[in-house]
Amino acid sequence: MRTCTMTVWAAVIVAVTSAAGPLRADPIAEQIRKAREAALNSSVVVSYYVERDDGVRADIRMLGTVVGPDNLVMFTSAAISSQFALSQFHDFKLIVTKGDDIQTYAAEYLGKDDLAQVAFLRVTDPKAPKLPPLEFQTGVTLEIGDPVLSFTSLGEPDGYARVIHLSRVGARIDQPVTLWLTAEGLGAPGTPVVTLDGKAMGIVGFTRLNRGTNARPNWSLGEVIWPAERFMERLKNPPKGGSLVKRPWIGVQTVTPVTKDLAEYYKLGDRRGVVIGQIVEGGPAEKAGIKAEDLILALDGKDLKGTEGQLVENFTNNLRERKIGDTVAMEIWRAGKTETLKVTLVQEPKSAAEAERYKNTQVGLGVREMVTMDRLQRELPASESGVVVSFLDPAGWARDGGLQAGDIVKKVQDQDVKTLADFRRVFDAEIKKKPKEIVLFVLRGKKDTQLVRIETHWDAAEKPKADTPGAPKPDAGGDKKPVEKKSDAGAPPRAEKAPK
Amino acid sequence: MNRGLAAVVLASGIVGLLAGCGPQRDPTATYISLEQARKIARDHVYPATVRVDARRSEFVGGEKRRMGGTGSGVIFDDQGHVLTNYHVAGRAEEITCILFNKERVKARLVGSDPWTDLAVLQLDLAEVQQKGATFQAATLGDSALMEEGDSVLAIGSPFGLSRSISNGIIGCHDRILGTGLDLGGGLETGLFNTWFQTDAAINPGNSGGPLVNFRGEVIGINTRGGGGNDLGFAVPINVAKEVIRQILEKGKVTRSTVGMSFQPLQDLEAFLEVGKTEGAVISSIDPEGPAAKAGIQPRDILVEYSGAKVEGRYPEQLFDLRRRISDTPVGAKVPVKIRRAGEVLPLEITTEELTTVRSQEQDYPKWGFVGQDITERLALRENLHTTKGVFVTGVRAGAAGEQAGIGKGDVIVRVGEQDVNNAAELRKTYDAAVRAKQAMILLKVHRGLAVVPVVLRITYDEGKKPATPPVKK
Repeated sequence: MRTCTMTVWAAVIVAVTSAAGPLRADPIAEQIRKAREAALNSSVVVSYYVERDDGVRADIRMLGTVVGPDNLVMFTSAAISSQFALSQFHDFKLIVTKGDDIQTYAAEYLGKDDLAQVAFLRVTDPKAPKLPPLEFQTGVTLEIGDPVLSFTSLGEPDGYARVIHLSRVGARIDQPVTLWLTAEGLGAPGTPVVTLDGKAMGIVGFTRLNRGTNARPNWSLGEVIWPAERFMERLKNPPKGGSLVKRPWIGVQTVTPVTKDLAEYYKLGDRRGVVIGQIVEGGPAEKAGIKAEDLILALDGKDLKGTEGQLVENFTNNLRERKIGDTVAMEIWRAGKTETLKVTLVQEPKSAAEAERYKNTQVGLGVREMVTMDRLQRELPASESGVVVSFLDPAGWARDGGLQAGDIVKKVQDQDVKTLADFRRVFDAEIKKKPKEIVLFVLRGKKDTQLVRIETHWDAAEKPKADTPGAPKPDAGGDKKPVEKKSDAGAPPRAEKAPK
Repeated sequence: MNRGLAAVVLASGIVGLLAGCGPQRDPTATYISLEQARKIARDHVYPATVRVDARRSEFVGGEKRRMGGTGSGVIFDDQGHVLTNYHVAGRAEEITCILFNKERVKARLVGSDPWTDLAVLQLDLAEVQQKGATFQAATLGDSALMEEGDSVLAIGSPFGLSRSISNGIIGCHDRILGTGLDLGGGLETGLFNTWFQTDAAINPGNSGGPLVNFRGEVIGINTRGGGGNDLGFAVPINVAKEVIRQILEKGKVTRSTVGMSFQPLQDLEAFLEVGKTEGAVISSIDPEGPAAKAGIQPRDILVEYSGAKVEGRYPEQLFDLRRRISDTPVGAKVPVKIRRAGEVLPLEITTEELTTVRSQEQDYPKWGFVGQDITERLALRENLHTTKGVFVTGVRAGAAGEQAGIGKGDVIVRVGEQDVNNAAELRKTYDAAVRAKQAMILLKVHRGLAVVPVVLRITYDEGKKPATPPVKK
C-alpha cells in the first residue's frame, strides 16, 4: 500500500520537475524518469573509516539503499574488506541528501553476509527522519536485451548528485545461481538494479565473472546483476552486532572438478562431480569418513552439474546455502565403488579478519590469534599453536629487532604462548618490567624457527623530546604514527569495486 | 703522502721479492713501485689465465635447449687443470679454452661444486702439445692473509674480451651476501664461504677468473658482480683448495649435513645466559635430520663441534662454522657439546650426506614434461613431505601435460594405481605406456598436502599422417 503511495507521489514529482517538458517525446526517457524514483528516494550515502594496521586511516563513502523500517540500510559487503578486523571499522554514518541539503546521521554497523553480497547498518541518530525503504522484488526474470537502471553518484563537493546508468541485459548465467550480465557499465556495487517498469529486482553484484580472474584477451567481462533472490532472506533477517553471517563448512581443501577426461577414465558416463584433494584434520568430512582423492558425485541424491569451470563453485555454493547443523548425504566414488556418506555441516571456522587481536604501540607490534586458514595455508599440523604477527610499526622496536609480518610467535621470553590470551598475559607482564630486551621464539614460513630479539628504549619512549646528551635518541626522531588522512570524499564510490 | 709514491724503487729481482719478502704490509718488507709489483703479479698469473667457452644442454620449459656461455679460468698445475666457476662450466658438455697466447684447446669437466660455485676442468694436453701451445700454472696463495686495502688484479674475459686485467684493492675480506643465493633453478650456493669484495672491475665473463695479489698469487676466484659500480665478489682461494683436492681425488665434492640452522649469538648472550663468544645459537632443526635424532632442539647453543670450540657471535662466523660441519666425513659420529638451560650436554651426531636440490632430469616427451628425483635438500626447500615421487621441473607448452594442468613443482606420486618412487621408475612406466600406445594416463599429483588427479590424453599418430590422396584432374 505504502509503496503504491510512494509511486504515485514519485510520479507527481516527475511531472513537476519535468514541467519544462522534454524536447521530443521519448517513451524510454519517460519510463526511466518514472522508474528511477523509488530507488532514488531510498538512496543514501554510507560513510565510515577504516583504521589500517599501521594506523593510517582511510575514509570510505559509498551508496547504500534504505531497505527496511527503522532506517535499515543495505550496501555491498565488498566494502567491508575481510582484510580488516571489525574493530578497525569506525564512525559509521548515513548521509542523506536532498538537493543542496546534506544531513549526516550516526549509524550502527550490523554485519555482513559475503555469500549474499550484502552488508547492513541502521541509523541510530534519534533526529533522523524516517526514510522510505525500497522494496525489492523476487521472481523477476530478465530477457536478453531488457533495459535496466542502476545508480552511482558524484562526490561530496557535488552534493553526491546521483547518476543513472541505463544498460541492457547481455547474458544469463545459471551456474552456480541464476544471474544476469550486462556488457555495458552498471552503477556502483550494491546499488539497486531497476527494470523500466520500476521493479527493483536486484543489485549490482560481483562474482568470479567480473572479478577479473581471467586475464585472457577478448574474454568480455560483464557487469553482474545480482538478483534479489540471493539476498532477500538476509534482508528480512539482517545480522546483528557487526557479525559476519557464518556459512556451513565441511573441511575439505583443494577441490577440483571431475573433468570429462577423468569421468571417461573412471567410466562414470555422463556423471560429473568434484574431487577432494585434502581433508582438514578433525573436520566434518573426515568424521564422516570422506578421504582425500574421493570423488563426490551427488548431494542429497541430486547429481552435481555444470561445466568444468562451474562444478567446484556449484558444489561449494550448494553447501554454503544450507543451514549449519544440517546433514548432507554425499554420494562418494572411491576405487570404482560408490557409497553414500552423511556429513553434518558445521559453522565455518573463524577467518583471519575475525581473529582477536592485540596491539602494543610502544613495542610497535600487533598480533592476532592463529586461525584454521593459517594452518592450512602453511601446511602446519592442527596441533600447531602460537599467535601471528599482523602488524609492525615501520619505525618500531619490533621491526628493528627483525620481527616480520606473518611470523608465528611461539614463545615470549621463553614462556609458551599458545593462544592470544597467553600472549596478552605474558607480554603485558613482561612489558611492565620494562625489560632491556624482549626475546621471542618464532616460526617463520613453513618450518624455520629462530629467536628474535627486540631491543627496547624505554627512556627515549617516555621522553620523546629529551635532547640531553647521552640520552638515547627517540627512534626516527619523529611521529611514529603518521596519520595520512585520506580526504577522497570526491572519489566515486565505484572505487570500492573489486578490481577488474 | 701516498705510500705508493713514497715507495723506494728497487731493482730487485722477482725471485728475490717472492722468496725473501712477506706481504707488503710487513714493515721489514722491501718496497718496490706499485707499477712494478703489478707487472710481477701479471707475469705470474697472466700466462695461466684462460677464457672458457662452455656449452651444455638443459631443459628449459620442458624442452632440451643448447646453452652457451663464456667465462674465465686459471690453470693451477702442470697437468693443465683449470679452476673456474660452476656457473661457467659446472654442467658443460663441451668446453673450449683459449690460452693467454691465443691458442684454442679443448677441455673436459673433471668435477664441480655448486655450493661454492667452483668447477675443475682438464685441458686436452694432446691438443696443447700438437698445437705447440704453452701454458703456465699459477700459484695458489693463502687467502687468509689478505686484508682490506691490499692491492689486487682481476684477470679474465669480461663480456668475452679475453686477456683483460683490471686493478683494485680488497674492499672487504669477509663480506657476506646472505644465505640462500641462487645459482638458477633453485640451486643454492654461498652457504659455506664469505667473499672477497673488490673494486677491481668484475663484469660478466670475468666469472671463474683469478683475483691476484701483488705477489703474483691467486687469492680468489672472481664469481659475482655487485650490480653496482666497483663491486665485485670473489670466492677466497682457501675455500677452493679443499674443493680442488676432492675433485682431483674423486671427481666430486662430498659434504655433510647435520640438519640444523644457526643464528648469530650477538646480543642474545644475556638472554641465553652464556658468554659473548660461547657458541652459535641453533635456530632451526630439520625434524628428520641428524641433529633432531641426536636430541638437539632449536634454541640450544652449539659450543663444541668435533672437539673444537664453536664461535658464532657474528653472521660472518656462521659461514665458516657451516663449512667446518660440511667438511666432516659423511656418516661420521661427531661428538658435540650443547648448552641448554645452563647445562652443557655432550651428544653425538651422525652426519648425513648433503645433497643439492638438483638431480638428473628425466624427460617424458610424450607426456610433455621433465622431472627429477626428490633429493633431501629439495624436499627441505620445497616443503615436500616425502622424497618419494617425481618433481616436475619443466612443462612443455601445448603438450599433454600442460593441457591437463601439470605445472612446475607438481610431484607425481602415482600412475594409475601404481606408486612412483623416482624418475627412473616413472620412466619405465612411461616407456611401457608409450609402447602400449596408452591413450589415457591417470597421474596422481601432490600439490602441497593435496592429491589431485590429472588425466593425460596422448596421441600416437605423429609421423604417420595418411598420405593425401592425389588430386584427380
